[in-house]
Amino acid sequence: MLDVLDYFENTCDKYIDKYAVICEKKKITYKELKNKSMMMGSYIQKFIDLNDPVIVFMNKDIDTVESFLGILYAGGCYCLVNPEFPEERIKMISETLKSNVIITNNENYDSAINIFKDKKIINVNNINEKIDYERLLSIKSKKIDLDPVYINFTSGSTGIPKGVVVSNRSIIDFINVFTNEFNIKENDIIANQAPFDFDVSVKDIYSSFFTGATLLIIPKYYFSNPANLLDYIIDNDSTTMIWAVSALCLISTFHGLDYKIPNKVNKIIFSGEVMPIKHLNLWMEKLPNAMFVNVYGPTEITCNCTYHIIDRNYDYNDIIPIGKPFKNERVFLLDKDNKEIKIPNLLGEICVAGTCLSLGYFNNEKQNKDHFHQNPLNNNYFERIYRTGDYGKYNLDGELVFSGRKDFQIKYMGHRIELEEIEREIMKIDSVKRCVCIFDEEKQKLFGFYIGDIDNKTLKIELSKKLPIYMVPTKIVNLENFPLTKNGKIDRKQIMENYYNG
Amino acid sequence: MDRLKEILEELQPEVDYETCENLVDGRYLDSLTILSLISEIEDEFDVEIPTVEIIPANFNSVKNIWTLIEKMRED
Repeated sequence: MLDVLDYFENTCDKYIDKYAVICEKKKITYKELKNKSMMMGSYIQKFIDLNDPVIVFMNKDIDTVESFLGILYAGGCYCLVNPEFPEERIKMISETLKSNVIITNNENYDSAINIFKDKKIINVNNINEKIDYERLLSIKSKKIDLDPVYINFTSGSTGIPKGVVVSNRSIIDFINVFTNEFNIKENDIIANQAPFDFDVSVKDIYSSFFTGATLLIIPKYYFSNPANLLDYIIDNDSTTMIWAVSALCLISTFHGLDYKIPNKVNKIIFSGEVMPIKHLNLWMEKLPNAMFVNVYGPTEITCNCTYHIIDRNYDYNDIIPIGKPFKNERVFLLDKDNKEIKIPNLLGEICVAGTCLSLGYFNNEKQNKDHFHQNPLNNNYFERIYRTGDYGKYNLDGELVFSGRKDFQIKYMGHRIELEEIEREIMKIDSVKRCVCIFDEEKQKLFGFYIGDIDNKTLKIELSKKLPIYMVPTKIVNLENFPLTKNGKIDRKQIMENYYNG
Repeated sequence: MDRLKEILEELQPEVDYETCENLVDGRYLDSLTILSLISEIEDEFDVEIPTVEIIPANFNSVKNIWTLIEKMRED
């Protein structure tokens, strides 16, 4: 089987009348989903060429899943753009993609018309097309497994978001290993927390479509109403949660597990940031028989490259390892001189090689050169590696432990954010003279300090017009001047100390 | 109640808290903001807000949030 649609169709043949996707108001069987997607593909293909990127401009829903598959049937690849993003950011993404076709639904149609001028805008709620089997087959015959499936944008330190392109081959490789390793099967109900522009959702969507499991979409606003959220998870018999750490912590912070326990959940696979032991223990206590797994990896290597299954009898001493590589992934540490580190407790940069590597950043040659390199350990033939920018070390059991960042990238509420990108946006505001963004990891708070004649309220409002809400600092503080280090750099530590000491 | 308004102003300045009565239903406060808000309220007012109380109705206006805090203080 060559592309993700082959796997999807194989599942559709086996589990015809089983529910493929359930969301709040609608359910769809595998057979219905296949028909709907082929119908959409037959229409969309009229407007695109092979491997063209198509923007999907809507929130997560059954329509969205149908659009993804429809675009793949049409020979294109999809990029979900969150309609709640500020217009400027949406335009930046659209300019990078140079995509001519936008797919949206009734709910977002008007705003799509406003933002994407001169583009072909397709409203999925209005498509009524006969399936053109012949045409779809002909498109399929032209595809290879290295053709892209999706493009996910992440924060870029240069101020422009970077679109990571992932191929059929990487997804097929990863999802087969992932579902086998954690025993995801047709009787599972996968409760999807992650937004669809996040690669955590790739695991939900394709683990379902590769095995015949059911994808249960949780609407975003449920996360503001934790009792409803738990009821929804429980009433739909969810068995599997592949969630961002911050979302699991949201439930425990809201004391959700004192309200009800999702008893049927037998596996919780978490990623995105370091799991606080306190929260993990709360979850494990309430779900004594469930398997908990810490998985690690940046979007560039297709979801995850290492995993560690939590051992309930082990005392973790506050650090849960990111573990060992998934099958068919090469994960290793390089020191400053590009020599491999093999012994415990020495710090190195985590590097990854294998089929899991994405196709790089869309339309961004410079970033590709900076991050995807020839493996310095191999002088004999072409072996591409991705340098994650994350530091790691081996523990005494030979498992990898995450040990911080090389640069100013942070993980906040599951989002990967370059502090420099926020700083660049703040500096664009006229009256700001200088600024610095600092993340307080312990308190999970994002700070923006600045010098300039503008009050912090106005600055926050300006900023939220340009950045997604999770990138707007929670606290914005006006300072007279910045303390400097001996080397004349802004002293981030001193700024935070001054702040907390008033 | 002034302290509560201050906390809200810091988290989300783009709202007129004197008049707004649909903070959650009008999507002025998203889950992320509510999460920060509850952590701050629990720290500041030394209360615990149980899950069943985290419903839009209790967070739609400053008055409602304040009523909730008072109620939790009495418990």
